[in-house]
Amino acid sequence: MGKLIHIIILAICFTCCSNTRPKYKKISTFSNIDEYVIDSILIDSTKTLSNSMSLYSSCSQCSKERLITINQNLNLLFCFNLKTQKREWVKKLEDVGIIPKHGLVNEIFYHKEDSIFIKQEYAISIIDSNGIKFFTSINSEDQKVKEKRIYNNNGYSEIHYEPTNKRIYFSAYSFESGITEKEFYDYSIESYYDMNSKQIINIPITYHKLYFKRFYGNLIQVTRAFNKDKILYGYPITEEIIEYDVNNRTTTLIESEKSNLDLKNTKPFKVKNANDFELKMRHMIASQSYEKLLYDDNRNFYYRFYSPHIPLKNDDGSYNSYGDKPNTVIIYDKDFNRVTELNLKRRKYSSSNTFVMKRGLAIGKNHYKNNDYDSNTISYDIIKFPN
Amino acid sequence: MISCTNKFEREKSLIEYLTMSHGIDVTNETYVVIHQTNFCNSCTEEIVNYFNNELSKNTQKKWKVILTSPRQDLELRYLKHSNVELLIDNDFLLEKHGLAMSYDLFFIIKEGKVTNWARVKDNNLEALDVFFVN
Repeated sequence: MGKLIHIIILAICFTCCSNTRPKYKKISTFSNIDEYVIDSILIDSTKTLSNSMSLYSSCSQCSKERLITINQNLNLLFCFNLKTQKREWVKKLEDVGIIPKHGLVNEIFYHKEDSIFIKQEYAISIIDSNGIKFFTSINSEDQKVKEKRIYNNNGYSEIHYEPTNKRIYFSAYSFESGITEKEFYDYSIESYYDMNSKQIINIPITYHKLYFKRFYGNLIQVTRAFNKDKILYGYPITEEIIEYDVNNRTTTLIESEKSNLDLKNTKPFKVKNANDFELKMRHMIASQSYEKLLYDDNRNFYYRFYSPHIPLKNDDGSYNSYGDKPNTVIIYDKDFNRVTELNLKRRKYSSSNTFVMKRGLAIGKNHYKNNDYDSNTISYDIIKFPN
Repeated sequence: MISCTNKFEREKSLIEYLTMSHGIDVTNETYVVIHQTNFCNSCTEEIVNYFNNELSKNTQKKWKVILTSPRQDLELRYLKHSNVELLIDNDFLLEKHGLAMSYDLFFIIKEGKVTNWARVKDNNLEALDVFFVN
């Protein structure tokens, strides 16, 4: 009887823990990024780009290293070759069927040479050199009222195409609930358009449960990475990752290792100040945040950018702005053990302007306080950490 | 927010910024506008029009207009007025002094102190009229 009870207890323990991956302790180091910069990209883009270059996508399955970007002011789509560091082509958006009637272009994804995915406020299109080869409407008033859902990006989760299952993934949020309400966070934040069934399906991925209990102001940018049949979701206020298995439709909580600089929890933000943008900005400056998450299938690494807590005011009386926050990039192995953490130089790199290439991880040098950055260029350092 | 009585929380930083970074004399009455050109909802057409109007009407007053980043269109508009000194915060000193905010700011400064100030948004422009009544 005693043995049976023992077995039952063990079985219960395994069941309870089956949706959580255990944390493994591993010794890791804190390194300087300079040691791992293997190459740089510098492209003269004078008169072609807007300064912010917020919309860009590196090609996931092109034969050559390519990057596309959009100048919203000029309504132009550019393609650059990252190896030759030259512009390959430029097209007017209207000439490829992307017209203002469907709203501003807000997300792009470069799948391969003959497939560029463009998401506008009210439409998703796939274009090739001849123009639109696929089109579907989204976010019509009828749809918003009926589904109470808006398909819009809430962070670093841009439109993405998975060719295996022919699915176009895009973010969503509640049309009905405000950001101070629990229902906003306990809500499916991802959908996909199934190109076979021609339907939009919602995925049961929500915000991390920490958001159900407290309000965190503007710290709500969700980031995600694709790894074959897994999608991994990261949230600013926690090192934990939620993994979604596309085939089994199950979720797993991954207790990834924290940043070396993560020494205290993120403070919530007072709901009564929810409409005070200035206070929310100050909260963002002072708070840590786990930022963009990327998967490198060439090296089987995950990269996650991180920004620690900093004080609003320094000892010398000067104030810190968002641009003064330091950044690191945490490199994880396939089980989210921290291999190392690289210290990015302050005010040099833009942690949101990053992508994975065969050569390594490209990090944009267009930090707005980088005095060495010429806004008429596209400029990246490529880092490669040995695996 | 329009404030005649609430103290601007970073008044000391503001005076330091104006005097040390730009050598502005803050003893005589001076009108200061800070346009947060990096923020989407700041520095709108309505706000710029409003101040350009007031500049035309209050030609005896000394104005300092500070832009957080270069903006040729704004520079051209403000430079038409002879009573404006236009300054551009090229070195992020406004941020260092805690004055880079998500809304434009307006101050009346006299004898080294802020006598009146306001957060400037599209929907409170009429309320600023109280500062310009002679």
